[in-house]
Amino acid sequence: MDLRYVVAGTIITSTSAIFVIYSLVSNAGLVLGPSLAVLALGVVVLVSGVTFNEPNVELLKLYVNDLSRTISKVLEDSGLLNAYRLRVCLSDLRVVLSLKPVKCSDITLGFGLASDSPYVALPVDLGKVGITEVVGDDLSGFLSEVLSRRFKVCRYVRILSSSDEYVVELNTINQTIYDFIKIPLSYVKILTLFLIAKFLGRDVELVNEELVGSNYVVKVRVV
Amino acid sequence: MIERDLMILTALMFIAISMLVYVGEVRYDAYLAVTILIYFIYTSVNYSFRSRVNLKVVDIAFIALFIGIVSYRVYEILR
Repeated sequence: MDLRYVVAGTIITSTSAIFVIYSLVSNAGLVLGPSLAVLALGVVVLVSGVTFNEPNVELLKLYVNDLSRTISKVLEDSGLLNAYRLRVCLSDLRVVLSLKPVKCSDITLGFGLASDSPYVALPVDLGKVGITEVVGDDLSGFLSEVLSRRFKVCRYVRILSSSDEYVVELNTINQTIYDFIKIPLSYVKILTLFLIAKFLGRDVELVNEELVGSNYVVKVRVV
Repeated sequence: MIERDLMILTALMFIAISMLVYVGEVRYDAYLAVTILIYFIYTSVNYSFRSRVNLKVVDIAFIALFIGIVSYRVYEILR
């Protein structure tokens, strides 16, 4: 469902219905035809709003679920599932999950061992979706532009603190992806961290994350 | 996105209704029939619109209405 079309459809339908009633009561033949045509359009908009669904969403949900189960199993076997450090290596366009701090230069993509610590390194290249440079002057504006307006992850983004550590709140997470935030390697978490790193032009590390109602709060530290 | 699809559909219907008003058409069934025809032609040509929304209920209602309008006109001629 998309509320915007539902509202638009309801307004069009109700307005044209009033005109239909008016034309019937006052016997205005010329008004009746166009009013009925607009009523038909209103019904189409209303039904479009009620039944709207992005194509392939269900398939992608299934894919994410199956993939996260596999990744969880691998992380569990590597001992990375609960105690881990998540770090963005900006120069290599990678996000690294490891038990201990590792150097970005020692990391290759995929699973591996560096400084006696198992790690998982994932590629993050937003250039493929057209995000090549920082937009705006402040961090909240940049995050809102990408996470809220572009990817519709949340309603808006707030920076709660930006002293030693950055605390970022993603307000009202989209219902479709809400459950995916709880999975071990949530792409929302990866994306948020990567965007912060990109804006600051520095590597960053996840300190803490929590779901507060429908809001997602992450605390990151510049490395 | 369906914004574009709905805007094109609205524009097509607006043009058709304007033309009917311009020629002074007063039969309300003519407006409905043209609107329904435009709806079916547009949603058949632009199938991506149908992949995002479920218009089955509208299809059934519009087909029934269109059959009703045509039947009524045929009946009027034959009477």
